Amino acid sequence: MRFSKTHKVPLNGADCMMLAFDHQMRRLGFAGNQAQIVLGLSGRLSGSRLKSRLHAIRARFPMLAARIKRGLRPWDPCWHLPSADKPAYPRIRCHEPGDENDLHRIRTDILNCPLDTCNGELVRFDLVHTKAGDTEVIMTWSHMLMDVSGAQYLLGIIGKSVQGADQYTQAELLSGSYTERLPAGAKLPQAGKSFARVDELAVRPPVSLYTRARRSIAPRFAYRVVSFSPAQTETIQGLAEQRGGFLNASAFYIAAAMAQFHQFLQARQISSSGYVVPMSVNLRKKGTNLPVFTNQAATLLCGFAPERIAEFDAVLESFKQQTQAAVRQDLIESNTCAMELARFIPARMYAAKIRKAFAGEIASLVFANPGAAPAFLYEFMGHGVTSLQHVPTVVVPPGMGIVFYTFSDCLHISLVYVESMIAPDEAESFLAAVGKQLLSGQET
Amino acid sequence: MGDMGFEEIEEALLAFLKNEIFDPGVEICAETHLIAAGLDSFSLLRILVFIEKTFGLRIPEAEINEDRMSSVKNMAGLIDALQQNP
Repeated sequence: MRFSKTHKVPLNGADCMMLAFDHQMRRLGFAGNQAQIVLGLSGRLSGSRLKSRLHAIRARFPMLAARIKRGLRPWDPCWHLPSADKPAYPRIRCHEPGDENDLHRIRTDILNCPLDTCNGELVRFDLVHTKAGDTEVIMTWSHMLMDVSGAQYLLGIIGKSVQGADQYTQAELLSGSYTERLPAGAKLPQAGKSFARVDELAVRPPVSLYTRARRSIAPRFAYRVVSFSPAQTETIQGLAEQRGGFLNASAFYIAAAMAQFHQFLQARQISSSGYVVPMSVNLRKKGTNLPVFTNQAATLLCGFAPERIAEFDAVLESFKQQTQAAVRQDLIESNTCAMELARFIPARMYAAKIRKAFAGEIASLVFANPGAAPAFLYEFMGHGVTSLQHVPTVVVPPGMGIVFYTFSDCLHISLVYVESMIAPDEAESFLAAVGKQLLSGQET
Repeated sequence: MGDMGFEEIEEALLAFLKNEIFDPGVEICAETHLIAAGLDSFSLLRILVFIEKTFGLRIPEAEINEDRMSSVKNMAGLIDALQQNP
């Protein structure tokens, strides 16, 4: 448990990594390291009703408006919890778009609107009321506070669809962190294995689109989402299991995304000596969504050689081998140890180490697969949820990320990218090509 | 390590799942449907590595499917069969 009588909650190593990325993105002019879940509700949810609910939630969970302070020990940042009489955040903003173009502009503006994290704005809600009488609830949160799994559960608690939603205490939502399971005194030697893995991949460093064009790029994100029908999704999932292996759809998705990314680079006559994709691993014990207010994820870096990146089967096989080797060599635990070390070093050694090794880059593109939406996200404050989207901002560079997830038996893919780095029609073509590849299970 | 009997295999798998994979709040028995209980790809990989280290067996890829991996009972049956006919 991390909640203490002094109203300070220490950040873990994964939180500190998100903090480091937030600093980096703000330094480049972007809104910060934040993410969104967009719920489409049937019917109109009023701002005042949500405000009243959030007021109660905020009173129970002061973490929602905490501020990071380093105090006299700059190597050990903590959340400082606000007193109950300062309810400035979370904010709720309401929007009434005129037409589809207006709706698109509003969504993009919300994604690019920074959170006032210095003053405790870690979560923000935007309600978009459509002309048809429906509502989009857009929850934007700072990645320093929590990961996507935590954010989903928080939405379930706010929406009262989680069992016992009104019984949880803040201490309960902070308990069960991976740091409690790390072997004492083994951090440095274990972390060494993770750094060795970076060095191994650094022989063939990746190239991102952002770095090649950064001088002409405005610091603003855009995104596109492609959705598949239930029948198409069944076809894709069947092929994923057949080709990627049982419970291993990520291999299938990564192979498709990397092949298309390679073609994208080729079209721009950019050569890359290697391709690197960070793979997120949820460190929570299975069968629980706790803890909520923290990042509980390790990152496995997967590397692919350019000679075979366009070969679907080769990428699939390489991914399988790399993930199996990672588990055999305890690379997941090693990565968590490396991140824990990052807490103690103001220079944020871990991120700096990767960038230095990869000649300024951190990955070719970012990949995430949060999987199927949990059952509690099908209802929000008494309204049926008709759609769900994940829209994270992506660490820059690479400034381009692809997210695979299912809702209501349909696969969706969000492509998030720095706006002027890729034209809207290029983004559409990229997603269409990934979709075509997933549906055929072969090179296109 | 010598070959274990079916019940010992079940016990070893259950102990691993309870201690390393699942939250203590999740009740796991030999018949529990592990995928419904929250098993994911990396947990499955950890189980496969545990089987390799504990029983000296590598599960053939063709056997890594929902039928075989959905419960401790089914996994134990597969390990038992592979021990007898490697």
